[in-house]
Amino acid sequence: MVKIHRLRTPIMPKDIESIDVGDVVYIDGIVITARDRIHKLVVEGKRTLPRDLTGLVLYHAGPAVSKDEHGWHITSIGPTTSMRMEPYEYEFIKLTGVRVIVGKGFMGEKTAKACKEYKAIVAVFPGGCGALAASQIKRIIDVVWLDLGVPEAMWILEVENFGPLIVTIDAKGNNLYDIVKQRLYTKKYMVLQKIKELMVTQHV
Amino acid sequence: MDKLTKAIKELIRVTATRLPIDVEQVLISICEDIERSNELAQHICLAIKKNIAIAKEQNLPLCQDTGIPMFFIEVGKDPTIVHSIIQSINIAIPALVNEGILRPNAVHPITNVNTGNCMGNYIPWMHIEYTDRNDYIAIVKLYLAGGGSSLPAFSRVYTPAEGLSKALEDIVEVLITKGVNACPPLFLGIGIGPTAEIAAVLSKKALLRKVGSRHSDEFIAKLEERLRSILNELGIGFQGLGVGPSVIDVFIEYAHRHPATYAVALSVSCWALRRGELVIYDKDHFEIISHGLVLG
Repeated sequence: MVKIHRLRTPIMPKDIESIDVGDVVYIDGIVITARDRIHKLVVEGKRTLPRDLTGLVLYHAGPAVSKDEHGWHITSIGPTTSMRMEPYEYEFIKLTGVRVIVGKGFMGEKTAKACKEYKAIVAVFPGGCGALAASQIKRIIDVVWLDLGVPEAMWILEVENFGPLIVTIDAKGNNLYDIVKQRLYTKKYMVLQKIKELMVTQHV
Repeated sequence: MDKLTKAIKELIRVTATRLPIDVEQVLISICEDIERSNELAQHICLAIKKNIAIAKEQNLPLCQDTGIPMFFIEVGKDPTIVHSIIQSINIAIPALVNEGILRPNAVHPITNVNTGNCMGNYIPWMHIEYTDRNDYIAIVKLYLAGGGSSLPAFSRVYTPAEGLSKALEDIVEVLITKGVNACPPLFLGIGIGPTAEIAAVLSKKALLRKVGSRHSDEFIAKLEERLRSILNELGIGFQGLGVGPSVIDVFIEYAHRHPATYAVALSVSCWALRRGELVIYDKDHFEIISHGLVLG
């Protein structure tokens, strides 16, 4: 049974206590984007954050945008691969107090450890659904560090009904990736066996 | 703006904002299948269907990673068109970046500086082939190569003794380590040939084929079918969550190989396979046949 939760920022540790791996979450409030460059710069102390991120949502994403006399418009903003941020995420969570990390694919045991210690969860937004995500943005509050390029800048957004976010790491430190890895490696050996048999029949 | 530039611009815009007819059809039928018995599938499929609809209605990129534009141009009865096609592409791309249809994705490999307009050294990529066809002036095919799906790719030269066997082992390994983050379910393009780069180009051309189409060579066609069925037992599913298929289709393109080499390459596409095909029949007749559009 998939439980559905609705959250509003700033999100408190108690708000995410009852959320389990496999649940679906929808969020209203403030989301900030940060990917490869920002994670490295913040963790290495090379840049100071423009605001307090405690209780907010971190989104691994780099949007497609346009600009006119009214300002910036985000045309598409689906998630990017979260695993690339794994080397930095423990420290980033510790330093910033972000409560929900949204991205694509799974994250590793260091991040799961941070979720347990600092009370956070990791979830995935369906990959490739950039237009859907863009439609859930109420307004662009600000953008900083555009010197890093549009995809790598920090976009500060107000969102409404951001989701479906499927939880892969909960605040107890349970990590769906542990189950997935096991499943994949079991299947791998079965598939390799079938390929061996196929090659024999093909006389290749 | 001249007719050709307009048509090229429309090709790129349509490729970024709408799925080709055959890709949309197969996704809808996959969703119909898995929604019936799986709650998580319902959430995912609803998001995908909403995304397709919103992108189409509001002219937004389906996915924010509009990738590196790769053009495959087949020249027919009028080779002089190539010069104009290149000029049109060079105008269209920065214009579409400004409109937010393309994301600036061209980054210097040493300085990390993003050029800001998706143009760069050898980018957009253009592969031009001359044919002896008389029924069209040129065909311009476009493939948007996103980052996540470009990671689980390789081109390697094996010995004949290792051959396809070893290559398929490597393909399985890449799929379970990097395929999960390439937005599965996936389309696979496999290239076979004498050298690394020939196999690589063929693996990308393989992804330009229609969903469900099989190679004209019966041995290759059989291999495509069997591999699709076997690789689907990996249980990756949508977003790696184990729901739905892992591989939607497998396409193989081959060149005859050298007696002493067996080169195999893998190219992968995410579920949002963004390819487009513009046929320039003559000066006033353009059709984007991948999406069923007649441009006049």
